[in-house]
Amino acid sequence: MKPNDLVQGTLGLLILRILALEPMHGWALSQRLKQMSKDVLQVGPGSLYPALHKLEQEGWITAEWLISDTKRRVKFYSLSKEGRKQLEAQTADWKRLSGAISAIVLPVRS
Amino acid sequence: MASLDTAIQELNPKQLEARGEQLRQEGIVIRTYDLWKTYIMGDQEIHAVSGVDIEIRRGEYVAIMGPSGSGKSTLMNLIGCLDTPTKGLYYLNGKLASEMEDDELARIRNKEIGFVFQTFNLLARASALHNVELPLIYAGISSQERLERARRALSSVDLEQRMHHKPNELSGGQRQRVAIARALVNHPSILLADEPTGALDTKTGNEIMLLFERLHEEGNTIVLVTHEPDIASQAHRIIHIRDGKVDQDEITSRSKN
Amino acid sequence: MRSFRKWRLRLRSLLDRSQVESDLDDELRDYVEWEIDKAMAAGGSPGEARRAAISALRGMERVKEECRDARGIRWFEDTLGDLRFALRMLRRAPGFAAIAILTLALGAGVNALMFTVIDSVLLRPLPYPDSAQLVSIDSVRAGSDRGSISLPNFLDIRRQSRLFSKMAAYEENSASLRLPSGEPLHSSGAAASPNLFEVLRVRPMLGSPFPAEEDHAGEACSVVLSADFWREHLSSDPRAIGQSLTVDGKSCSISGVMPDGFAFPARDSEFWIPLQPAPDAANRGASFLEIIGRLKPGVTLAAAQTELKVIASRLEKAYPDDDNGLGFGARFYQDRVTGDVRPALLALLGAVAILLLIASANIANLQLARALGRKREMAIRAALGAGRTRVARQLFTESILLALIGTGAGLILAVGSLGLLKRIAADAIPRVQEIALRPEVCLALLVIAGVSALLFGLAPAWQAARRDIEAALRESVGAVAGGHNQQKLRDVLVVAQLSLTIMLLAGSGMLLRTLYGLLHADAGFAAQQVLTMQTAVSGTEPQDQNLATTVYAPELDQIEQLPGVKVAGFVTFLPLSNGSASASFLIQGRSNRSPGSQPRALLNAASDHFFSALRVPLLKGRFFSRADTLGRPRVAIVNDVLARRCFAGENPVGKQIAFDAGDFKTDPITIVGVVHSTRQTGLAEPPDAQLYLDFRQVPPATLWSQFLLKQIMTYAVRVSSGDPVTVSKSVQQVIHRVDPGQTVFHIATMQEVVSASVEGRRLGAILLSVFAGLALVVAVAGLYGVLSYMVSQRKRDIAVRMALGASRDDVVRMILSRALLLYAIGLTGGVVGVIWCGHLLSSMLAGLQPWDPLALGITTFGLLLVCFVAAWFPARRAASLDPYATLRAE
Repeated sequence: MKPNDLVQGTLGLLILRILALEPMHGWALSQRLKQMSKDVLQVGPGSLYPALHKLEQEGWITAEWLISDTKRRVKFYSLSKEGRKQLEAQTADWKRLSGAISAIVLPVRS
Repeated sequence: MASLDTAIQELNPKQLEARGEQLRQEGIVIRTYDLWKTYIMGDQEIHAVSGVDIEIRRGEYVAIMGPSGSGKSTLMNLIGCLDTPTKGLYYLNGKLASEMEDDELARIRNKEIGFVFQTFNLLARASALHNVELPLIYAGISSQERLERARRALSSVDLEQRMHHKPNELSGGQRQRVAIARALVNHPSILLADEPTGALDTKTGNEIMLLFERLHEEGNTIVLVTHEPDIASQAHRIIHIRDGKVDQDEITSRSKN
Repeated sequence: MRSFRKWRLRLRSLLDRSQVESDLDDELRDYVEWEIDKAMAAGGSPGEARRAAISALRGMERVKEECRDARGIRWFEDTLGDLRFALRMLRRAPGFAAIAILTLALGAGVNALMFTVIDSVLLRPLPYPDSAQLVSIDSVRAGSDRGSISLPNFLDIRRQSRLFSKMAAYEENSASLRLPSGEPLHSSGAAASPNLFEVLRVRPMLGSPFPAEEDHAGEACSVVLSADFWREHLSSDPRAIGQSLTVDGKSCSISGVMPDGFAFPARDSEFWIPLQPAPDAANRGASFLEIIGRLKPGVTLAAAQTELKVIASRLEKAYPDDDNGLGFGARFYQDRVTGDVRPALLALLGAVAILLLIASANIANLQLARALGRKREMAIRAALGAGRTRVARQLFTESILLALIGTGAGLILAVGSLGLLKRIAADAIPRVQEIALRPEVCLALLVIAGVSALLFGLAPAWQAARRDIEAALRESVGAVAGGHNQQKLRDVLVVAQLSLTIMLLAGSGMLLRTLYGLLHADAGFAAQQVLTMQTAVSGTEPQDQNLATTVYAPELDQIEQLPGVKVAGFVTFLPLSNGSASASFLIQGRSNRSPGSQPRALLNAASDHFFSALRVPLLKGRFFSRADTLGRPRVAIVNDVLARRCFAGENPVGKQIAFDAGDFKTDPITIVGVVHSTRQTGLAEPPDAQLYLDFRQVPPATLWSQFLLKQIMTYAVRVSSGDPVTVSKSVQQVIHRVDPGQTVFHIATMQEVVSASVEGRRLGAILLSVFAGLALVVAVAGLYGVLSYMVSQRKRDIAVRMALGASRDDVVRMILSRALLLYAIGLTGGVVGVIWCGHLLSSMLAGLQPWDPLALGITTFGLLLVCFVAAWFPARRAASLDPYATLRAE
């Protein structure tokens, strides 16, 4: 699935979900997403970074510049308290929505 | 300057005219004498065509071939009366085209030359029929005769069915056939085609070349300008141009004699 | 809290842009390095790693853009960038920018000008508190214009009305004044009922208004002066209050000075005196007063009109002799002041609106052309990652910028021309001294400019955004030229411009022709070589002095003796000049009809040589002669209109008439001559019945001499050759010698008098012609632009035609015929518009010929020539095209 096909706004939810595990930088996040979705979801920088910046702007994630072991400046994102709340709310929403969609789209088993 | 024909430079107007008449009677459609085209760029003189003497007879199928920059395009423009030589003489069907004024050139282009361009150069807003009709308009032919002749020209390239279509509704090959019909409609002395297959795929290009062959068999004089040996080899004679000069003049295997 | 952080971040993005940008760079570079690491780790070669990096880097600019977007600073940065870019683009296309800005400046400038005039003159309330309550009351008789009201009727209206809080009567006046210093001068002002200033609610800035008791006052008189008069003639001396000033021979004490800008009832009113009950004040038939009233709060004009109707019918019943057929009409005082110019101003507003349309069409055309010319540039920007809306916004910013600069230049233009307009319009437009550019007008103009930018910038912007990027980049493949629809749109715009221009040109042609027609119509006299001057006696002469024999006759005799003077005449009311008086009369030997239906005629006292001075042709009988003196049988001369009206089929000479009303009662007067009629009130008005009395026979010490000889009298002096102004000095010397108290003013040649009488029309015609001329320039620039553009877009097309045998003449013909076609369509639209507008105009402007084939013909032909010239240059350019080079440059 290409990132474009991701439901608008779903990427934000995924990012929040992954950052809930541990703080990480953008590239790692994209790798983790790929890995967690068993290669189904691949997000390029073109979608990833704007989404990150937007979430940062909303205050749901915070960013921190750290120096990596390879002496590079790396921007680490972590979930804020508000982000956690947002994650819970969005997860609930998602469950409801995906349940509803499944009920309609998936054939009824006899 | 090996082929310099000094004698002809000395002739007076009357004699020049007589020479033209003589050429015409001999069936020589194109004759150039020491043809030059020189451009001044800054303080440098660039000779695009330097002293070309060629002779093409009625009914010949000639390719002018050379790599880009060889001067073949300039030569084509001189032969097509789109440009005037810096020096030298050019007889087209017995008329001294190299001495003509703009308006005479326009008339002679209209009457004696049928152009086929690489990019077709059709009028986008006009139907195929109107495109073919165009040279007849400038020849001052009545509208009824124009329509009749344009229709005939289109049918000679098998496009009568599509004569009311506009260029953007036609395929590349069809467009080029419209262009050829347009070139033929005025019964010109020569058909002058500049890379006529350059914008076409190979298959369509071959079809166009077959059409040229047929036109040649019907008696038309065809001059083909190209840089592709494959295309040139379909003509019956190839004039190779290099550095603005005639490098080689060969008769191909397709020639019947 | 959350929104606080958001804004803090946003603010940081704005203020600390370089830091944010380098952070962004670092972050994305980091991503790329991770990608390379990953490729290397997977055992890839450095080459593969490089490829991975490149593929990761591809589109990083776009990613950055989107990150900036996400950070919400995008809008601000973009706008700045767009503005900078727009400025750069405009600088790079100075020709386009200049034409566009100039076009807009013209359109916006004339609109600002007309807005300002209309705002100041028609819309802005008069400078009186609650001026919307001020109502002017006129008498309306069936079949005649609005007229004045007699004193008894005024008093009755005032007494009976319940809807007016106050009501005042006034009479425009001009008088001979003598300053406290003894200097005589003539001035105009008004005689008004003392409560006038209360009705208007304006108090003097110095001193006080007239004392109220003067309502029924005896001999004590006071005068209120204008601020200008006080400054100019009393050197702004506050002690002037209480000093006395002689007004028409009567000593009046100066009671007050009005504030600046108080211009009631006319712009040049300089003094106000209490209305003196005239000797015939009790005559209900003598209507000479104007009425202004103030409505009680909340009362509508309609209610007042209804009430006046009731009062009128009451008066009609009570005084059937004098008030038979009487009615009263009420209108807002503002309408009375500005009503005459309203249609002309609105017509001019229409004209400038059309001009703005033409200008806007021009801008749209320019923008379209440029958008097309720049579509590759735009496509490249789009390919580089700029969104479509981004490209559209860029174009839109440009047109907004253009609109702002153009409008700004237009405002400057308007401010600059306002002073000029005020000077040339001083006599043609009321309230001209109040005309000033107000912020509201600027604001309105900016809004209009914004909207026009939106409309005309949006079309190309939208088109640019809609374009398929790839198609734009690949354009040039295939057949010749594209943008068919665009060309059509541009053609439509040019046709519309031409149509509108024809309308304006024809409209101004109509006005000019009408004006010319008026100036060259038979006015009934020959204006050349005649000097006129108005005079007024001081008013201090004894009541029974015969001015005719003691002042006027000697003066006339001596003037005629002057070198260079051919003949000198004298009349109460000069044609086209200072008003008129009319009276009803009886024809002897006919059954007496009721006063209301008696024949009326414009009345004049004239000297024997007046007719020859103005060369008024004698049709029958004789002129006055020296023998027609006081005591001899009274004689009169009538004009052909009166002769036709009252003596159809008969010879009026020898017939007798008489005046019957009250103090004006006379013995029978014999008609001795019939003269050609002269235009008395205006060149456009049809001549009315006229009756001349010999000035020597006006009996002194009667109302007759009061009305016909103690008025402003006008001398008309015909010189034998050359400029009549040369005798001005010597004539004035004669007058001063004979009567030192007499003032002389309004010295003008008769030609100037004629010309001044059409001042309003002239101004209208001039303004409309200027607007039409500007429209012509703009429209022709538009045509030129479209054709030039067509030539540049269809170069290949033209080259192909030339290759196929089109001669240069054929090419020229092709472009010219294109221009001709546009012209012809524009003409058709224009003529339809002219016919339609002509009717509209003629209903608004009296005396206008709605269908003027000559004006239209000249306009049409002129425009054809101009179009031809505009088309000639692009056509030549097309013809000089080198087909070989053009076809080669594929």
